Amino acid sequence: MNDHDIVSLYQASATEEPAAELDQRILDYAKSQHKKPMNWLPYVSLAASLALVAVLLPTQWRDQVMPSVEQSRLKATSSLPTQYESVPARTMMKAAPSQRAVNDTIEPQSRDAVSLKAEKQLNAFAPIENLLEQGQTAQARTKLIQLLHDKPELTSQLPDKLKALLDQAGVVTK
Amino acid sequence: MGTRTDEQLMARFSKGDQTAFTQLYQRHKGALYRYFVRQLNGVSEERAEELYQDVWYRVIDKRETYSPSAKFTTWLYRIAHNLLVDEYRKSLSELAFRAQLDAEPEVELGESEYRKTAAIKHCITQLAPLQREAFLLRYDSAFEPSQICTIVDAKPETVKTRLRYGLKQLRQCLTRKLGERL
Repeated sequence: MNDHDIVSLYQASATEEPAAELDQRILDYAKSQHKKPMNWLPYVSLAASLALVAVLLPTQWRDQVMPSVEQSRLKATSSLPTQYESVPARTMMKAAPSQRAVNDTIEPQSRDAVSLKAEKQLNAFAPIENLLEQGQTAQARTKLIQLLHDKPELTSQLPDKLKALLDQAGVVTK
Repeated sequence: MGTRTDEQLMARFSKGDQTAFTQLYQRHKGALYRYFVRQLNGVSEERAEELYQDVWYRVIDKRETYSPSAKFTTWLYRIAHNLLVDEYRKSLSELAFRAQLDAEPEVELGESEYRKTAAIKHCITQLAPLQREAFLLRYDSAFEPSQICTIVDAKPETVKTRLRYGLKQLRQCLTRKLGERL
């Protein structure tokens, strides 16, 4: 009996295998480990912390830095009604058609300033219109001729009513 | 996939390929199972199965840290060997106690092939644990002596001596059971 005989005899007898149940248990364990869901808890915690910091810190910073910006914004909005209040409602209504024509030709950014200027110019005819309403036609005509002499640029913005007043007197308007 | 090495299969398994693990398991389950069953023959078959299962569970758990540069089977049996050493330490006093109670068990011998199988199994159990381990690693798991050195953490001369004495013990035992000729 040599070593080879002994080894051959052993290998012929070495037939034991694990039970199928044991095999399945181990294979199932391997499968379950791969299917194990990712642990999101640390990531969720980190995201929540970052969100909290993002919400709280800028609030404190804004309280210190932003008031001046807020105040200037408030000042800007509060000044708007004052400008409009300075223009009589009646005049604005009368000037509306001409104002629309002006607004169509100007840029949006400067529209407010230009319209206010136009209203101011149109407002120059208001005393004359008042005189007309009071029946003082001659005085109104004299005042209008004087106004157009002083400010010839207003001739192009002359309301039809006042144009007629000049036509009656034989004054030619360009 | 059948031609893939153990190391390639393990790398694929660590990336989630379940079939790679199944193939790896099928390749090595028999020899590893016998390694524990033979080594713990005097203790408990259930305990051998527990340790066998424990080795595979550790392989699964450590799949991410496995380095493909290390030979898979060496790594596998190194885990098995360490578990076995721990088991020996725990059960040493119990084994000594049993050895005092049990005489060499009589083997019921019947037909020729059955007699031979029963004789070799019996004689294997009679080897000293370190000789039996060297024998199983060399002739069941087909490791080279140098690989056995790595697994059991012993010098080459020590492993060769264990193998030589193991074979000598087996020859004597088998001769007693079966006679001079097989």
